[in-house]
Amino acid sequence: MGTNLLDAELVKRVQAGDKAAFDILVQKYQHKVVNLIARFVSDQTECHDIAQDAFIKAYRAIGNFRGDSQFYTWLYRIAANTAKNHLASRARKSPNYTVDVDDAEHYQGESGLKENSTPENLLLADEIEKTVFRAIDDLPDDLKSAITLREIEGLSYEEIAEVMDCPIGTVRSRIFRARDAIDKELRPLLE
Amino acid sequence: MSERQDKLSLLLDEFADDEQSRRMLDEVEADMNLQYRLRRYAMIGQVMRHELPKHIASDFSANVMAQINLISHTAKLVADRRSLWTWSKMKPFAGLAIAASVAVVSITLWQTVNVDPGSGQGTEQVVIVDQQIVDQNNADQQKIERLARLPVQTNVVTVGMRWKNNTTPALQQKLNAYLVNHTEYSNSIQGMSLIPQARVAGYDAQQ
Repeated sequence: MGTNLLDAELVKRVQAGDKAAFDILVQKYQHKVVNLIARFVSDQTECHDIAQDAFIKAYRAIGNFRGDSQFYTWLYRIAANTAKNHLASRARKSPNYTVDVDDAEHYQGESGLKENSTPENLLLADEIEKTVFRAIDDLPDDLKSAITLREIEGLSYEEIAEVMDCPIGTVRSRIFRARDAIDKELRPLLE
Repeated sequence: MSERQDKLSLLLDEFADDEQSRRMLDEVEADMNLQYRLRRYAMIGQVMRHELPKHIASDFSANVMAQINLISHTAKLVADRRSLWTWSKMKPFAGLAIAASVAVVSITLWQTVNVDPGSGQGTEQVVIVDQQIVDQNNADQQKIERLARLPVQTNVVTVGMRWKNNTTPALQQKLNAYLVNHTEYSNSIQGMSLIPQARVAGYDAQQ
């Protein structure tokens, strides 16, 4: 199954009523969608709420998805529109232009840099990053190279085999062993 | 287990062939541990590419799926209510259909009632007449009306058109003899008769 054909297979299953397939898509793209919405909305709690709304809208509309574009492109548009609609709605409700004179001295307006995330969430994200990079540093060079070429450079198995001058099977094995080693360090954080 | 993990890695990189990918997807959908592992494998790449948000909601997908399940459940309730509404609209028509069926069945039966056992005065007979057969045979109707006017000493019950077939004297006598013999026999068994109050009233009675 080639690039994005996995998404197409998952979408087909969702359209057939398979909700577990949609769960896999959510887990795959949740961070990308949250990052996208964070460009529009600075409040992190709102970001996650809007991202969840975007996924729900996508689920409801998935019957109309014809595969003319890639799934993530379609999801991206839904997420962006959801964020924009949220901003527009908030602007309509904003008291910026209707503040009563008597309340003006107490009105502080909306801060664009509000951070409502709990410390636990912040710690978790930071801890995850440190754990992953520490685990990568501990890897043997051949595994480190293979996983770096795959995840950061985005090379295919064939291309990595050519770069590292080894069989494709060896590339496949090195990437899997690298992920497995990093996962052993990461798993306790997320369980 | 490591073979499955290896296949999971292939699935993530979309390197497996179509059939293998579909089988692996089936396994992932059926196994939460595999789903968590797939998510962690994907997260490794996101961290390396600095795609991970500053803030992570660990229950993000669980929240989304909970809302989706609620939507599906609500939609089902609405659909069920709509079908119930449709049925309640159909009920009067169903009732009419049942009533019509009952009418067709009951139209074949009618009865007039008299009970005066042993009076000897000959009251009306208890006659059950198959209306459908009477309508089909006008000649028989006259016979039936004549029989109906016959005085009888006991209650007589006729069913269907047996009278039609039993109006011949020879057959009538045979039938009477049978009934009499049977009644005498039955009476010997603790005084109970199978047809305690029936006697065929036909030519013999008239005679």
